Amino acid sequence: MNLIEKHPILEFQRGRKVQFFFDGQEMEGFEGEPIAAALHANGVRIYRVTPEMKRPRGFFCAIGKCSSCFMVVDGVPNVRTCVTALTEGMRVETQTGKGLVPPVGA
Amino acid sequence: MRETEILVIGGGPAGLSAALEAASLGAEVTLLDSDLKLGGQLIKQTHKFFGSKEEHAGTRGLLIADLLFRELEDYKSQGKIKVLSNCTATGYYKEDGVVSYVVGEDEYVRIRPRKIVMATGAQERLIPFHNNDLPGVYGAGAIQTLMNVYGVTPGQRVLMVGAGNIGLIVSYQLMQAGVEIVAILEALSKIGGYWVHAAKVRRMGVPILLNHTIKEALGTDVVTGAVIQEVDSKFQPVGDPQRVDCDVICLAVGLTPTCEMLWQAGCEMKFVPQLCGYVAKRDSLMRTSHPDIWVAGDAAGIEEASSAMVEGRVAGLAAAAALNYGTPEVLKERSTMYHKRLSDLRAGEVGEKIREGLCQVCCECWGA
Amino acid sequence: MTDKEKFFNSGVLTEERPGAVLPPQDLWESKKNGLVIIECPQRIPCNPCHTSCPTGAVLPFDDINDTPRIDYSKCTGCAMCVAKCPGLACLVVDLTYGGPDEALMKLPYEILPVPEKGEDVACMNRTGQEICRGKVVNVTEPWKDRTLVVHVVVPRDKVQDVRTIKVGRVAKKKEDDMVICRCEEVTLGEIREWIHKGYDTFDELKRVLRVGMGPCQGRGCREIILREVSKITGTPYALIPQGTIRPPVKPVKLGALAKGGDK
Repeated sequence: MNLIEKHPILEFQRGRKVQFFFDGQEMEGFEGEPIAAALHANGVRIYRVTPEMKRPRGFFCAIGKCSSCFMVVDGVPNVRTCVTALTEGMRVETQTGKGLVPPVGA
Repeated sequence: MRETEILVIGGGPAGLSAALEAASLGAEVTLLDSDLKLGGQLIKQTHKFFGSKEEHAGTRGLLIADLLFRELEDYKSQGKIKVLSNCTATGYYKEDGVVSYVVGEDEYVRIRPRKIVMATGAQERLIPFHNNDLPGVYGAGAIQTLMNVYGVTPGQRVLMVGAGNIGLIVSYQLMQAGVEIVAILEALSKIGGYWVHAAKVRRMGVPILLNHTIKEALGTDVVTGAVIQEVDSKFQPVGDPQRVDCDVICLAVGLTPTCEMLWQAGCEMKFVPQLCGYVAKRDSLMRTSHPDIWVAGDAAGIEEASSAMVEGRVAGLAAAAALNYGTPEVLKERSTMYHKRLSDLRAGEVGEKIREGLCQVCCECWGA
Repeated sequence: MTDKEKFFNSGVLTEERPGAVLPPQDLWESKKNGLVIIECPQRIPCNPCHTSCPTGAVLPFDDINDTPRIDYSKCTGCAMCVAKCPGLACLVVDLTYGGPDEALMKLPYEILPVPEKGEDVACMNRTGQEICRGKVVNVTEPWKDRTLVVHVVVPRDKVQDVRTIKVGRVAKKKEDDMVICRCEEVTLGEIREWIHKGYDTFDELKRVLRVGMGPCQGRGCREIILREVSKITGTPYALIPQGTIRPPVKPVKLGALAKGGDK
């Protein structure tokens, strides 16, 4: 995990440890942290592939303003993972293309 | 439809200060913030702030945020300030003065405030170079969020682009997090940030390459390196490009004010390079040409957090006064004090640019 | 632009300037506990060095943007400003400490790992090059706010150059980390170190460092090493002997050697 364990100035108050899934693979993160941060801590840096040029994209602005970190979260595409809190059992998937609107009632 | 007396949009140093000031005069305030955690960029700052005692000089930014949060708790418990975190303002509607926002990703809400303080902060600039969309090219603010708020290491070896205060400070913060800085690039022939911030990283062995820029990020899926280039005073290449190994390229090439809603409100706007973009014209109490809208902090022009906090105080004070809170004496006394502090903060060498910028957009007061 | 200016523009002090001056020598040499040095040559809105000074040695600011001025007669070397300055621009130098060749420096420190008392640390100059070793004699936290003050004993003639310390691994100049002999993995730093000790021919360096003794037999490193010898000794490259070049010039299997030769 790419976590800062010791810091000269800061102490990190992390949330409860939770499991989540990235493209089906089980990972560990902290409840309440942004999904994007949890993924980065697990070494995941590619969050989506763009629709036109098929370019990989990842974390960029971290404040929900840029669209770089859109992913499919629990079936919903285009979720801004940098400002969406991680919860237990969340299913996070790499988004390819524009994303499909989930069927009604799903 | 929700209603509120004063809506403050943005919970960073300026917005927090505006909300506190307005509430201190008795106004009822709603504070809207898009992030999961309140405090804007303040909570990411591990370095001690400049300024004087009034701006908590010598205290780390994140501890200044704590001081503001403590003050906020009192007003929250009295019901004077209502804080809406994880709520992103999505628009201002001129016809009826309504602001719309979303809660998280799902719930859409409308609120009609009597007065608004726009403290929407800034967004990071991008510069063009090949592959600048590759994962591993991150904004400086993003890196601060990742490492200082959530304790995640952004990478092993970082190339920093830009030697303004943000580039210099984030470099130092990365070193505190145990990350190596390959080099700091600066296209100009002089660092843009405070000299002491540069001295701090230089003596720890970080090269600051003046007259250098980034040409290309290397890597197919993620960043594995970069091509850098020396340039002359007209930004034309000098000599051969060089290759450096790094897994993160951090962009600290400047910010630009976030002002979409000010445009939507029809505020008079002006492009001011010294303030880093379009900003609203305002009077000495931060009121825009729209009589119900004030502006403060980076949204009013890119500057330091210390001055953002004072500007927020001014805007909060004036918005509350417009609703007849506070006496004319209090208003006069406080605004005089805040103006003195602002002019002190802006009097130095680095403040020169700000002074030049402000004289292009400030008017004494709007015609009655 | 001169080199001096260029250095200064990137955050390296190259000469005294307003806001960055040394104490008067006489007083400095006799003042127990040392005197403060502040390297803050730019007008910025900041005054904690003054407000944190318990003795009034850092003079009051008329304008908060003034560069600091010091009344050295009042400075007690307490290092409260060292730990308070947001720019980490203050340090204390005590010339009365220890033997005639030693001095004590009190430096601000906010990095991990924290040095321990008695630890031998690298002392770095304003551009981050290690210029000597120092011994840590104390680590304090004056304001209990996590900014530490490291008390380190350094060679007295280095006090004008040492500006920070690094714990553990010897901090080398980046250039020194470059691998020159790829076969035997010898760095430029090691080569320079031995040239400075007087081993200034290729054959001598070969014996102490094994440079040029790997599979390539010096094809990659010989010239670089000899140019380095030339730079350091001042001898023109063309006059430096290339050293003995023995066979085999390319790797040969032992079996081939055993089997081969004249029939």
